[in-house]
Amino acid sequence: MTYEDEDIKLLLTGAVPPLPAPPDRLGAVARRVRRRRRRQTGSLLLAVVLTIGLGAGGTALMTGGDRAPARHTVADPTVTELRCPADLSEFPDLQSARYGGSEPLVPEGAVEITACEVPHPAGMGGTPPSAPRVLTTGVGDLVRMLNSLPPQQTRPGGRSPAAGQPDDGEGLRCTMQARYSDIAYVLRYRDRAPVTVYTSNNCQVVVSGAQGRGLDPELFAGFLDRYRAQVLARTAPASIVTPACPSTLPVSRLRLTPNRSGLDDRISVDNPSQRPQLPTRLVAVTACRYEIGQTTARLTRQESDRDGAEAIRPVLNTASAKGKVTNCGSYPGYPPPTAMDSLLVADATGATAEFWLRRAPCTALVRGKSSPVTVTDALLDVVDELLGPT
Amino acid sequence: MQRSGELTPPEGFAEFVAARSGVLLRSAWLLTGDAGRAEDLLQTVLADAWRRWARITTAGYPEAYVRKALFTTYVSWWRRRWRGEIPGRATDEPGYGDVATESADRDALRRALARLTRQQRAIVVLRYVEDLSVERTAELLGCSHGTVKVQAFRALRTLRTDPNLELFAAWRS
Repeated sequence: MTYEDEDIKLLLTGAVPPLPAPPDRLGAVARRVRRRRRRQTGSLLLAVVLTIGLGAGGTALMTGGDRAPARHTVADPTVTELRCPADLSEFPDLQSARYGGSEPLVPEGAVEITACEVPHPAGMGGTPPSAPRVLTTGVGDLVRMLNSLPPQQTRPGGRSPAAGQPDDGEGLRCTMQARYSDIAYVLRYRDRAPVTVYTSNNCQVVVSGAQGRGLDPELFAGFLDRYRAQVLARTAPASIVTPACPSTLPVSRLRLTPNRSGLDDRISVDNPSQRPQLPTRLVAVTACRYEIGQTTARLTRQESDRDGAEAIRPVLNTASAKGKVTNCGSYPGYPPPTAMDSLLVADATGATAEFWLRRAPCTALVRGKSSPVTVTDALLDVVDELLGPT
Repeated sequence: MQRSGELTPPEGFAEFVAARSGVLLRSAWLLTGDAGRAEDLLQTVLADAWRRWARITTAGYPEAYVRKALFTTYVSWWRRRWRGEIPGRATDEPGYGDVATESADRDALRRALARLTRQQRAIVVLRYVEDLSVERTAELLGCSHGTVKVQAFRALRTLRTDPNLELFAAWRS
């Protein structure tokens, strides 16, 4: 080996970044071995069935038997392991990607897409990342959506060819919004290794391999729309439990302080745009009325409804969308309400959300961690119909 | 203790995985340029070795088998893509680069490596990291000696002229 060869070797080995080992590599290998054995067993069985079938078919042909329609066989789509990036340090260097190409960003033929919320290496401020969402229906639509992303960034924050400005060679211009996470999509194929697509909200780009594209926020919405539809199709309405009111609430929790934890809203987890607030048919609603004490709010009445739940959805959506921000319960003092009702809803995907209706000394609708908004008469009527007038 | 439905690895396999996976994963990363793909490649090869472990250990040097399988599997992936997806372009397609790096030097070299074709990348790793001869490299990749020489020459020329590698001016000279 020459000196130059040794130099090359040193350079190459020095290029390898720290590679974290998965928590259970041996277990992952074992699962591959088991799957391969199953496939082999399946292939053997298929061969036996085909042999018998061909024999029977030949006999039928010779004897003039009736022909039965051919049956479809479905291959096992799980060929290889896939993993979500552990944190954002595994994301590629966006500057080195090639933007503006016309070739597809990802190959056609994906059978599954997993959306991973990838946290910053320093964590997500104490909140764990959401669990990976695995999409197996409508995958082709998402692949087409990925492959039709704009060649370069067209929104503020990145390259701006849409404004007629040529690339000035300064690379990506990214906003410096503090973000705890970004989304990566891992595409699984029947016959090839998974492909990972990395998105960057700060730079408004999407990168896979050496190729880059502009980010269209419809990509996120498109995935989640299909994911909710998939969950909806797989959830039996009868399996969804009617929410129950907590018998007490600490009054301190009812105060709308800036550092409040916010109301439970699992529906918005798969609907972050919240347009509309409740995108899926409601299966159950429970209204709760509380008497507010010095430190504790006590439940005085609760009523649930399943048959009429869906009728409440447009009322809540309108109230959430049209309501104007009000200072009811806000600064200064963040006073708790003196009378309050709440609505707990469960939609057809099984997700739940909570709404507070502050009745006195002023009225306001509170949801998630949003600012309180003015209440519509229709919403007051719905609640009063369930619980009776205050 | 074996859990229900869980496979028990053959004797010595778990120790081999624990001891040698780190080194093998580095080679896999040099081939794929992507931490996820590198892990996928390594696990694919280890799963194959699991099934043949008795034979491999009887032959005496399991790491040599696994290391060879790493490259042959990588090449088979490359050929499958070349045949199946973008004929005539796959060998021009840069390797995937995706792992954030700690230093500017390392990042510059990673980007330069991403400009190599898959075949060039495999040849460079085999020749200069694994120290294999031209003949052995050609045998492993299933190509001619001439291809190995030409692609190695082109790969080094690409690295030498890469603007990202300004930091390595001494090496270039």
